[in-house]
Amino acid sequence: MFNSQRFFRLKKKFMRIINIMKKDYRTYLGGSIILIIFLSAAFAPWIAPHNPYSTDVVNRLQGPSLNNPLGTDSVGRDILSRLIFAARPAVYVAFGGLSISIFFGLLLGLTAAYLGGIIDRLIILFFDFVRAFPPLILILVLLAIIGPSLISVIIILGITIMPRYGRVIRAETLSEKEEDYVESARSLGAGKVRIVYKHILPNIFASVLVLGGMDMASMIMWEAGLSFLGLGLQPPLSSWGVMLQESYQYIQTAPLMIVWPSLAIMLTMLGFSLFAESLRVALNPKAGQEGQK
Amino acid sequence: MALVEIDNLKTYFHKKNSIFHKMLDKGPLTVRAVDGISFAVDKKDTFALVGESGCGKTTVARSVLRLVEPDAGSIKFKGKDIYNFTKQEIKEFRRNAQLILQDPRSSLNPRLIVEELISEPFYIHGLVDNDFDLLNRVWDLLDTVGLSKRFSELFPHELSGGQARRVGIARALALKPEFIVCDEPTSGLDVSIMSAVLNLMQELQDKYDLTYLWISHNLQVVRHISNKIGVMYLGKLVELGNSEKIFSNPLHPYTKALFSSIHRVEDRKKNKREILPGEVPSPINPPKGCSFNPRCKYRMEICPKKEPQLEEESENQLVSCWLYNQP
Repeated sequence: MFNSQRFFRLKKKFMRIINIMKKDYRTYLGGSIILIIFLSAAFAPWIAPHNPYSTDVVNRLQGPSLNNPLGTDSVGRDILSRLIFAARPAVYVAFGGLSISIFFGLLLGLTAAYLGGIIDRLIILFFDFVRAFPPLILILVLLAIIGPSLISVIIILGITIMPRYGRVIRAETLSEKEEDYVESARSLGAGKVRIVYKHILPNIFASVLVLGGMDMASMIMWEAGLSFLGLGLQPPLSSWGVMLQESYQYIQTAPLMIVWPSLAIMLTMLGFSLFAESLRVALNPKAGQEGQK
Repeated sequence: MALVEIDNLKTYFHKKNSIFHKMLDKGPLTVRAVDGISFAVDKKDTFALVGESGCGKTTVARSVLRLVEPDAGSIKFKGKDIYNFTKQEIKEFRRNAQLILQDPRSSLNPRLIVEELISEPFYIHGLVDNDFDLLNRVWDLLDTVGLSKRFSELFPHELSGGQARRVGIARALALKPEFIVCDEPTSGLDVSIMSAVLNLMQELQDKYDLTYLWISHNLQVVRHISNKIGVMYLGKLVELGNSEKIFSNPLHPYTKALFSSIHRVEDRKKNKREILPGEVPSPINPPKGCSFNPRCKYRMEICPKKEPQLEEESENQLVSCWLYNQP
């Protein structure tokens, strides 16, 4: 298997993508931000200077100091440590939620577009059904059924966001399946699965990447909103969203406090968007030539 | 026995009725793309279908390859109806009959390199036991169509139109087919490249005993390559027969007008070109009787009333026109 021509070809294509990405500053910028977030999520207990849950009411709402580099919050907890610990739910929610919506979005979108007819109608009906509810109401109802926890938040966010992907993928597939090369593959005897997987999927994946990069942040924000309502993370666990909500009340006394979680969310979104963009460019076969960006 | 026999093929496209259409009560919308066509392609022949854009040539090509479902009629490949094939026979048919599409570049998946494109047929038909020799097979095929080995690593957008066309031909040849449907294989190519591609296709025909169904509106190309032609107008054949004969003596008024559009050196001064009045009627609502009658300068009383049938006028030349047929 590993010395077959097929593997060799895959390796060559993979190396081509890596080589193009190597020349793109976005790979490094985005990649290092993602790396920092992943590392802090993985090694939070070792990196964080303080216990994120230990309170110190005397030193509440302090600005940055040597002991607390980013200051303390309303009950005197170290903000830096809390930020580092909060990278975990952020990564779980953003990745877990997105993976679920992309996976099911692809599955349903491709099926609907390629099979058409009554199946297409049913899947579209399902998408519309999910989208017809205001997302918050839908999430509240579902959470009330499943019960609040990080995992249920991930699953429910995944399902709620999924129609976005499903619809985009369906539309792209519909236009892609009329292309000449699909007809040419059909005339060679390629089956439906092969056409979808080998021909259509690589050609529509760029849009999924772009959408995914943007949705990373909205996933984190959704989690924040749910945690604020007491339906996501349970205290004393913290997430960037929870911290944002907390510092909101102190915006006049400790204005810096709200900056840190916002910065973390913004950087995460920036990192993923940049990396997704660089990957999208490299996946385009026309990349890597002169005059192409 | 003919390799491909098409008998009274009818392929209609049924449009979905809009609510406005229903309110106007005009009945179902049906595009009669191909409306009763019969012909046979013998082995090693090049059968050319000519006609204006929108007359149904490509639909015939797609029906012959089982890519669209016809409404009526039958298509027989080696004596068997292709729409009654078993799964095994379909697979066999997909190996034996290939398609070369009009646009050289868009018929290649932009994200696959030439090597993957050409080796795809082998994978589809499970002809790869170990893929060590696959690259050699790809190189052989590239060599057959006159491209060097280095092309195997390129993406379609890195090829010129002529090179992309050659890759398309290599892909079609990969499974050693007997029958190739060429849907305007020379459109979009420079004249010099076009002649090179034509010569290549003729060489390949001699070498592998190929049978071509050639769809084109380029009459000079058709004259050069085909030995039988069928002239289509609005989904019907108006003239059918030996290529030499039809080119030297076109009978149907439409064929005459069509052939007068060929540029010739000798008649540059004498303006013999025949301009047809009006435009092609809609295939949704074709004219009654002979479908050419609204534009025909020889129109007779019978033309709008009764439809002429394709009948033999002289040896190897069939025409459907009341000028020749007896009512």
